Parts: sequence; C-alpha cells; structure tokens
Amino acid sequence: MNRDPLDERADRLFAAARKESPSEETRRGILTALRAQPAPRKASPWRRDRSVAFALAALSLGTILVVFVRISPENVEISAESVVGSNASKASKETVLSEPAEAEPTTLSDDSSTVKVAPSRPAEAPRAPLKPAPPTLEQELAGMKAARAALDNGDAASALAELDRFEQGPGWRQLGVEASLLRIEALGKLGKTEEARSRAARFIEENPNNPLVDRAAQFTRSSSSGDAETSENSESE
Amino acid sequence: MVHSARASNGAGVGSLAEQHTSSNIESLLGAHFGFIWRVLRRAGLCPADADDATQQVFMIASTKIDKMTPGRERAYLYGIALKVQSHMRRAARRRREVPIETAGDAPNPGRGPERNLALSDARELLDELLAKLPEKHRRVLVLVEVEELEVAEVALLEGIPVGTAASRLRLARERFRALLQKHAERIPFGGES
Repeated sequence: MNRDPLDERADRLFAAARKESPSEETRRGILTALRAQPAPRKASPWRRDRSVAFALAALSLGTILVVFVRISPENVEISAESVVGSNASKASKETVLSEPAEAEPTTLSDDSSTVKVAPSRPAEAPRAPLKPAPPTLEQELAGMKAARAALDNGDAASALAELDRFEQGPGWRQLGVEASLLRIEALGKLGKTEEARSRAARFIEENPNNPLVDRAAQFTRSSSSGDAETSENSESE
Repeated sequence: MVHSARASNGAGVGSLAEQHTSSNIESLLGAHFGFIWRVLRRAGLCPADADDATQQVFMIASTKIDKMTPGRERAYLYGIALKVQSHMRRAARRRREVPIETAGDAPNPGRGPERNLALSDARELLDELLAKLPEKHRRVLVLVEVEELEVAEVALLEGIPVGTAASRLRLARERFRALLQKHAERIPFGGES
C-alpha cells in the first residue's frame, strides 16, 4: 500500500527525534549529583509532637460532638454512670427521661443498676451485595498486554481466551474498543474470517470517529480477500 | 550500653534505608533517563536546558521516592517533568534568553556530516511545528510518535480517559499534517528515511 508522502515526511521528522538521546556525560553528572545529595531530613521531634497534639485535639472535638449529638432531644441517651451519680442520694426512684411520646420511656434505677434506654435507631435494612470494583486502567492494560503477547506469539486461541477471561472477570471500562479490535485480529488469525469481518463492520459502525477505524477497515478488506494475516503482517511492519 | 546498641542499630537501619532509596533512584534514572530527557527536549527546551531539567526531575524524584506507587514510576516522573519544564520555560521567558545551542545530541561521526546536519535540521523543523500545536496536543503527539507509546499508556501518563487521549491524538495529527504541508519544501534528507 502506498503511503501518503506527507505521512512519510512526518515519520522522518519523528524518527529524527527518536534518534536524539542525551549524552552519557549528562547521565553521569546526574548520578553524581544524586549520590552527593544529602539524605532527606527526618521530621523534627517538635513537628512530630505538634502532629500528635493536633490529632488528640481533633479526637477530643470529635468525642464532644458525638456526645452532643447523642443527647439531642430526638433520641435521649445518657450514660448510666452520670445519671446514677447524680441520683445517688435518692432512694430507688425511677426517672423518665425520654420525651417523644412514640419512644419507649427510658428508665434508670440506681439501686438495681439496671438501665433501660430508649431503643436505638431501627435496624438497618439488609445491604445489597457490593458491586465488584471497576477495573483500573493498569489492570486493563495488563489484560490487553497479555492478549497482545499471545497473539504476537502466534497463539490466537490463547489471546481470545485472555480477552474472554478479562471480560468475564473485571470487564473492560476504558479499553473496550482496543479489546474489540484485538479480538477481530485474533479471530482473523484463527481463520474465522467471516466472524472477524462482521465484527469489524460492527466496530466501524459503532466507532466511526475512532482513530482505530482505519485498522478495522483495512482488516475487513483483507478478510474479504481472504488474506487477513498477510495484511496484518504488512501493517505491523 | 543499651542506648548505644539502639543507636547503632538505628543508624544501620537508616543507612540501609538510604542505600535502598539510593539504588531505587539510580534504577529509575537508568530506566527513564532517555524518556524524560526527550520529553523535555520536545517540550521546547534546548539540549543544555533539557540536561538541567532532567537533573531537577530526578533530584525532586529522589526526595519523593517513597510516595511513588510501584509500577507507576514513569507517570510520576512524567508529572514532575511537566512541572519542571513549565517552570523553566517561564523563567527563560522572564530572562528573555535565547538558547545558544539548537543542535540535538552530539554529532555522531559514524553518520557523516551531511546526515548529522539533516537530522539536526529535521529536529529543528519538528520543534518549530510542535511549538505551533496546543500544549496538550503536542504532548500526546510526542508520546505516541516519538516515544511510540500506546494511546492507553499516554492516557495513563496524562491522567485522562483513553477516549480523550485518542481524540487529542487525532486532532494533533491533523494539525501537524496541515502545518507540515505548509513547510513541505523544508523536509530534510530527500529520499532517505
């Protein structure tokens, strides 16, 4: 296939940039500077103590907040010790503390040390099972690389198996399009040209603006002529 | 006695940790030195500035090596490189300096003077054209065409979705072609690739 001369010219410019590399002297200079660099300073004791103080302050503030919320009128709950302590001089006497009519009364008796408190929040409804976490881009890249490696080794069946395994597992989130194209290539190499061609046609239809469309289109052409592998090899070269 | 034993033990652990960090940063330098330098060069820094900036990148990285996620070191270094080059370009603009060197790496005697000159001209033209592209398009184009990375890897480095990276690449290629067409007569090394 004849390439556009402009593309060839662009390739030459990029190839010239690829050939440019830093000098060995620069690398040695950086290495020397890195070795001469003093070790990173450790946190000073004052700074460490200050962090601890901040953490303690935050913790106490949080505790106060929690206690304050728990003593709110909607749901009065008082610790047994504080109530028992305040009523120590009185004989067994029941104190009704809960205000809302709907809630059961909260009864505390100091002599028997039995404490009845207002029922806490209603039992939560059983949670729905958690969805599996979506795959990270690194995981997807690893899946793609495994499939690509198998295909490059001429093992198209393993490549398809890798793709299937990933789809049944975490599934594609960002590299679905690339995975589809890889599957088409693998099918073509396995000789399933009809399936490869129909998938390639669907790929083009669903992703008209994707830069990979050219590769898919090339593949449909090559599949239709029954020469998928040759075309692919020439493309990779 | 106990104190001295503890102290010596602590010092031993500390020096081991430092050695570990030092070997890590050296292996990072070995693995990504060329990549970072070329990224900085194609960002418009002259070779001398690219040398300085590369050194800065690795010096900064050596102080933050504990924060790097294993397997994502290149993305971390790339992020530092972007900040360093941006800072250096701003500083150069403030100083209104004109770089003395425009040539790239040292001429390779094996290539012959004409070939070296052609390569140098090609890089000069490339940098001139890249400078006319929007920053985000330029970066994606360089990563794909010069560093030969996959679009997905570019997305990872840039911290953008793969679709966005692909779209930026398409636009960058279109714009680059249009710019190249205007300078078609300046393409060096005639029929040689």
